[in-house]
Amino acid sequence: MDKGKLLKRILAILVVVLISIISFVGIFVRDKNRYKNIIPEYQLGMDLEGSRIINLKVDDSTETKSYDKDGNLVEDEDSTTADTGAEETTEGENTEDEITTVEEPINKPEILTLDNYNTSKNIIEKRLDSLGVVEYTVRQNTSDGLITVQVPENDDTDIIVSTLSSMGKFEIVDAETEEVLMDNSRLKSVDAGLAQTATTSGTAYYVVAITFNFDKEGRAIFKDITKNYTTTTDEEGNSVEKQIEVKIDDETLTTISFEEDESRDVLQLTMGNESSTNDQLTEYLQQAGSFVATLNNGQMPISYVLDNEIYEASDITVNDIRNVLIVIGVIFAILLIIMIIKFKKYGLLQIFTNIGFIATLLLIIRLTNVILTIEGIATIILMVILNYVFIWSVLKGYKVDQSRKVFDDVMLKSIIIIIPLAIVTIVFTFSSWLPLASCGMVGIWAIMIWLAYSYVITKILTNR
Amino acid sequence: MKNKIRILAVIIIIIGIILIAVKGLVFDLNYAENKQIQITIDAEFELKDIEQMAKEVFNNQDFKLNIVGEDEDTISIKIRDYTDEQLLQLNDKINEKYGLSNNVEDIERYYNTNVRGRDIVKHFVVAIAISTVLVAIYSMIKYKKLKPYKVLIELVLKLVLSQMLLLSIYSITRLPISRITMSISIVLYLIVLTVFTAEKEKQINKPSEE
Repeated sequence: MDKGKLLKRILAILVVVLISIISFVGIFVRDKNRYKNIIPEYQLGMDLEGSRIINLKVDDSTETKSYDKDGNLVEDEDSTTADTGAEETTEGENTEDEITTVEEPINKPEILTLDNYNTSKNIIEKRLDSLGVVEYTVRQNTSDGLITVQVPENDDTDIIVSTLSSMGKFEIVDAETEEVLMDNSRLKSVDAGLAQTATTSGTAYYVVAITFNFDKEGRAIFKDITKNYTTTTDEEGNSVEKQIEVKIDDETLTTISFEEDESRDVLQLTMGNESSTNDQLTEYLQQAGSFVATLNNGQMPISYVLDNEIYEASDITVNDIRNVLIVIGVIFAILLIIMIIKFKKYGLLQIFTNIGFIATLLLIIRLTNVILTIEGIATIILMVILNYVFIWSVLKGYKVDQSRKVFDDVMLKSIIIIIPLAIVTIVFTFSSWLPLASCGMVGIWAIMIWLAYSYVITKILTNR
Repeated sequence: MKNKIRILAVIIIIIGIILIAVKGLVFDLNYAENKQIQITIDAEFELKDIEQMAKEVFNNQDFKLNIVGEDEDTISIKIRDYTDEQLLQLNDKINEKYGLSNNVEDIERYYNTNVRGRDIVKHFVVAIAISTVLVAIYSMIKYKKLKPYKVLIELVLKLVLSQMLLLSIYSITRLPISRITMSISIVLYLIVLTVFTAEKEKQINKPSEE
């Protein structure tokens, strides 16, 4: 073997050893009084990292309502009583005003049907998709409507919890008479985002804008509202303000009236002002995102309340992972031994080629913050096996024909064979479902690394 | 030999389909309906010790043990069923081991309904359908010499039958469908595509090599 080839081989082996050390051990730098690994940790999915379990139960509380002798609602006292039983009613007669007070369940028995339970579950799933939750499971007990949601534990989990338990009831009401002017039936969509505005002195700043878009009839109704609910001045010069309340789940979000010459067909609310910090704006955006997810996916037919929520660690323990790695390691060692037996010294060199590929792939996964799920890990194993098969094919080819073009021929055939794999992994990368996206990202990186690594390292170490 | 393997595969698929229709599939505790208990342990504990106690109490019945809660001081056990006596036994063992005085009444009990099979699978359907269509179009164009429709039918058959074979094996062996099942299914899908393409390459290059 000429000196040039030998030098290239030694260099290739040294590069593999260096990458392996960085990948499996890390790069430690001094940070204050300790050493810190600057290689990022693996990002893990819900199955491996842990999750939040959220239990939503059907609201079985009651509220006190008063009716006059004609059966009209006189006063809707929002005094809820927990667990008193849905069917009980009490009558408190006041003979002077003839008002009947009853305890009514928040959820009337006739709405607690299987169809409504299913609808509620579907709406919750849509809200999770709207919130961009990339991994979740939703279970429902069809006998009592209990819904259990499992989501990843991260900074967004608290917003998710508050969004899921909301009923999504939207109303615009007259602030004085409580007359419902508009509700969900006229709401087409809700958007939220950053909007730039300016102070009176012209200084630009950002706020979070929530825009309520209505259907055709809704736009006309809202236009009338903006004309009728204005601030005017009466004959005596007093300011008369007619206001509306925007309510979500019977809670007033804001009370507004419009300028006399103002006429709009969309409702826009803003959060924040010129002194809002970036952190505050981020928080407002999260809250706005919650409104969007709640209102864009329909009103829940049943009112749910949060029963409990708890963090649940993954049941795949460090021991489980260690055991799996040991088994995989043993199988891989056997495959390498078979390669060495078959191809002798050329097989021996492939220990470096195989381990180097694994080390490079794992390092890139960490550096690019690819989130690993069980599917992603399975894809890593598959790609390692395919690389092994590729190396075997090259060595087999060299056994028959020792010319240089063997590597290029095998490489070309292999590229053609993995084209469908590349198509699939690209499609998976665009999936909003994390397990598939993880598989896709790992696959794409593995293919790109394999292409580069094969030409830089494998070609040198397999070359005779 | 290849024909024998094909016949065996078909037999396994048929038996599997019959078993699925009659007995259904087995799901592991992460997906099946289960009862869950949560016990707070106000002491340092090792999960493997709790696991050993649970194995003794629940007579080696299948269960899943986790740590729950941000303080990581509560254990959760999911199991298909348990008796009050078993709960009392477990509580006594934990109290004895860690010097606690927990009451059985303090143990939180929940019932978890099952996750529907279609809810597990539905997130994968669109992406797999799109990628299969794209791969099918690519294969029909690339291997047009081998008759495009023949290539399409062979690809679809191989993909479908491989997944049915996997499901049949699960059904026959009564292996529980778990989180690993979907990843095995996806890897199988990728392997079948790769092997299919390799076979087609071999077929198409055979005449030129001869």
